[in-house]
Amino acid sequence: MSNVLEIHNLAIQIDGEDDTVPAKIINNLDLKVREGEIHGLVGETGAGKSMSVWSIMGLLPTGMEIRSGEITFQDQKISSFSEKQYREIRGKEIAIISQNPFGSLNPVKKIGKQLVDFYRQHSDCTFDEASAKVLEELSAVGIPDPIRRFHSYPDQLSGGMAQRILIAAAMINRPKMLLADEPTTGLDVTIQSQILELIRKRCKELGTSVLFITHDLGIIAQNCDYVSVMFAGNIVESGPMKEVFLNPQHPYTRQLLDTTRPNNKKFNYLDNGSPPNLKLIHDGCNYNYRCQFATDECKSPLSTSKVDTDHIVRCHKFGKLDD
Amino acid sequence: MTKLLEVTNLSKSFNSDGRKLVAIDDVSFTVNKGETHGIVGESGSGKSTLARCILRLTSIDSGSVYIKSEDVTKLKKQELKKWRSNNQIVFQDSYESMNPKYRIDWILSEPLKLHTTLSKSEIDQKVNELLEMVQLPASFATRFTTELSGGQLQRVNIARALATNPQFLVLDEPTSSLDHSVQANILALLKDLQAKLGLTYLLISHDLEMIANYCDSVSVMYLGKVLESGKIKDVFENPLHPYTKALLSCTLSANPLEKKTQINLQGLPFSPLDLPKGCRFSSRCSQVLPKCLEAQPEMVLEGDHGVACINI
Repeated sequence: MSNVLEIHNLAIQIDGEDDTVPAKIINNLDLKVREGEIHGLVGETGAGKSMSVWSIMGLLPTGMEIRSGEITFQDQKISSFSEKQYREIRGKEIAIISQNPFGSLNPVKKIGKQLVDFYRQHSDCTFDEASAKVLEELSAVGIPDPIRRFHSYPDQLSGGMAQRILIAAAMINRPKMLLADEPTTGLDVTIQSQILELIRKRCKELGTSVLFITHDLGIIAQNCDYVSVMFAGNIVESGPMKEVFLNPQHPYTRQLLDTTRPNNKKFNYLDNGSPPNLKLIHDGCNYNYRCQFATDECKSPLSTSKVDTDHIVRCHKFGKLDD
Repeated sequence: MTKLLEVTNLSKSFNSDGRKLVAIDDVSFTVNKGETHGIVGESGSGKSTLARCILRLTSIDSGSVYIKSEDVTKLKKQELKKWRSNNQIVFQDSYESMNPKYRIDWILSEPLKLHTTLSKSEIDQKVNELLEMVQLPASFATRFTTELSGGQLQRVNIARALATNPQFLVLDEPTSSLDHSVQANILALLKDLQAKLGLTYLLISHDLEMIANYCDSVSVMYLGKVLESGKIKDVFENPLHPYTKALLSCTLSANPLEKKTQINLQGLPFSPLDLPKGCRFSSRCSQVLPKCLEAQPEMVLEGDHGVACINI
């Protein structure tokens, strides 16, 4: 399978004022998303998950810029795109669903009008043609009574319904890639399972690849084909989901999986969970201050080890953990 | 086992633009001393309002709440102050529940100043003990809340609740905003403190996995009503109510080999402003019968395991 998205050696930092040390948000990030796969990106708050998404969309906040590395999407080097070029692919080739659906919808415009605008941004058609397309898309995402919802305002929707609308908005231009940034956080479990099923189903129908960002390992285990575990702006372990979850090699991954079964821990590693200081990021293993296996060796530059064909891990102690 | 908390027929409604919003409707349950009782439900099911009613942070319409055979709803204002030192709450949002202008030592000594007659040096010593109890370094005493991470702040929040040696603690979604590794640490700390100090917890959460791992008994709430309650083992291994079954089928296991058949609920929940005469869950239930729409199902107990559904 070919790669839809490839991130190579990406580095992003926020420069401090005057001559203070810059905070390194993303450090030498490597990520590949294959065609038609659902790729889970998991990590704690501040690991740089959302920053990765924004850099792919070319929407980094002011003051942050790509220092080195490149992002390739369908053989185009999008990281050096101009704003005008970005506008061509944003929403058409790459779409996004964010955590808070209400934050992504205009509260004073009717749902239908907003979706029609999304569609007409990238295709040359009349309002009526676009409306027909929108209604079709609304039924595809399981909105009951699409005509009524077409004329509703966002505040008349429940959280689950609003997230469905956003999925419709994202999929209406048939993108090749969907970035889902914690799309079910804040939803109840029964609604969450409906939304997850919808994303899975819709993307399979349309052949869209998904980069699914979450901190919930259960979502990854039940929905993703591949998984990358992120810590302090870097991928510490990546591979086919089943391989990583059943045979985790990085102490951080093992510890994360342990937290999901507190009464039946497999590894019992210690981890105080204190967030890393992004100003002190170095070339070595940045997890070492929380890792019980850390030695001086861990501060030396880190390389990527292969566990299996696709399963990689970045740890100096790879292969020595179980001794 | 002695009962510590006994809630009987508790009801609470709010006035919303002249309409009656029923938040809690006829809720009853008991919690044994030294145990953890979980309250689980979706957003808007009345979990937090229930906690506020139990701790007298809001008035109630009817019913009674007994803690250690003392009727909480009848306490007078002067008695209430002393009572509060024994019954505390850890709020969901630790940033919002602390004053950002105060230092940590000030935050921790405030309950001591209000409820005890300790001298200044004794208070300082107690603050250090509290920090040690929640496994934070003593140097944190001089910091401000904004200098702490979410997990550290939640530990301060727990320390503040424990300052007056309470017997009963309400934990209102204590870890919902924290990362998994931090979450596990906080819950381990709470469990540890419970064993050490003999505390009784009421743990409110929408995270079923957390409830399953840390509670002894549980009540499942839906639109202000308890639909099912009982020992954790009974409810989670043998759920009887269709709603509990659906909830449990929707939890996602982190083990990729564990595949569950999900029960997808159709339909929308009723509005709490416009509740039906019959079962509250009837709009989303797949096994709904005509008689479900006629009257509220009564809670039927079988041993400790109670369920409010006429289809059982």
